[in-house]
Amino acid sequence: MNETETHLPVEELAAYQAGDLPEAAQARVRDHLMRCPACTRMLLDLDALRRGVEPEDEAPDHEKERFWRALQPRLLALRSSRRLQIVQLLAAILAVAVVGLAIQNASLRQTVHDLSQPDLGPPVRDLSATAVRSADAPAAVSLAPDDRFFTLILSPADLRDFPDHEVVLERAGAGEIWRGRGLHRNRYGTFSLILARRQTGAGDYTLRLFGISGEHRMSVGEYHFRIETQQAP
Amino acid sequence: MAARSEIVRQILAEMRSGSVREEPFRRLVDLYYTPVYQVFAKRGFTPDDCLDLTQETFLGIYTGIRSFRREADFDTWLFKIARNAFRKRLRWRAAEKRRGEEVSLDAEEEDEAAQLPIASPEPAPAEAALQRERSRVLREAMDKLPEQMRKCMTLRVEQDLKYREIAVVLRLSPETVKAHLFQARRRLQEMLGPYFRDSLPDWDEEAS
Repeated sequence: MNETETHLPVEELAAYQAGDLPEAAQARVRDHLMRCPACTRMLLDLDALRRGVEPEDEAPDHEKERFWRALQPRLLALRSSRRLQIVQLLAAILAVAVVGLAIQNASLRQTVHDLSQPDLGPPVRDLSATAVRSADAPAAVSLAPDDRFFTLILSPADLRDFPDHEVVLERAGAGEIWRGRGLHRNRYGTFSLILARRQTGAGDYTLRLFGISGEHRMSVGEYHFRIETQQAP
Repeated sequence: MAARSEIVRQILAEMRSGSVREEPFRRLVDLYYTPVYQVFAKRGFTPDDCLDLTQETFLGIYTGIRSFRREADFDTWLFKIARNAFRKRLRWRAAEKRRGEEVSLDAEEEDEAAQLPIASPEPAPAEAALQRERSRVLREAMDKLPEQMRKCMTLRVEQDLKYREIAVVLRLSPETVKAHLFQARRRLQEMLGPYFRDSLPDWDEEAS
């Protein structure tokens, strides 16, 4: 075998030995074997393994029994280590789940805490979908340092009734930052949406309102607004 | 060996489906213990090493049986596991040698050919020159043989293979190989004369 030639893959030798290769490939393998004692040895080993042994060469039962007894402790160790790996994997999954739940719990506690604090006179801003299409500057929502929430009153452009509505909030330059379902029209025909200050921040936003009916999702309004935050004195 | 492949297919199916894998695995070990052991024995490993490597092979099968593709050839898959086991052992041996500072440059080579018989000690310069000359003349004469006959002869002379082994390599029957070698010997004797009679490989005395 010359130095640049590589050994044949076992699969190719097996196919050659089984006569499964086309004539050209067979000739190529044969030529390689003529030059490569290592591949020849491998083919002969594979052939011997496939051919099996003559009955008179078969190891006696007591030898196989001894081999099996020697193999068993290693099989047992293998199974134990595999069980241990499964237990470790389950423990890792459990740990991740516990951490996740703890984070969610902390977030819920914070929300409950926020909601339980009276927020006197939070800013309320009426947004009209029709105004969006005008060239006016976006409506501004000015948040004082102690405003934790603000309310947007959304007047839809499409007055049809839908069983459900969805809101998608996008921040300029950052894309979608939040979406939520379960919004319903109030008796005045508008939608009240309360957003938390920590959800947002100063900047320009686009809010898209969709009506949901079964598989259908239709735009019923698009609103642009700007949040301005006032610094503490 | 259709009967064996059928047995293997059944064992593998049992191992895959059942929660108790030990019983079918035991049957697999019974079936393959001897041929796997012999693969290592023929490679020149000691009986202890052969047992250990056979164990490694069966542990590899036990571990990887679920990843074995049903449509693949089990013998080829098993052979690859066995080959990996002895390659690992050769690497380990080479590393041991390096640690003992007994290593030659050749030991870096992890080629399986490392398991082939070691060449006899180098002859004296005059003897070496004579051997080289004989080899050249013999090779030239062999080149004049018909292709199939030349291939049989080359494998006999250069790789020291037996009839049955040559038959496997060239996908011929052992009888055809025997006939080719007989013819080749006669033709070479005619071409090279009695001077080479004793130097031609003696394939009649092979233990098959």
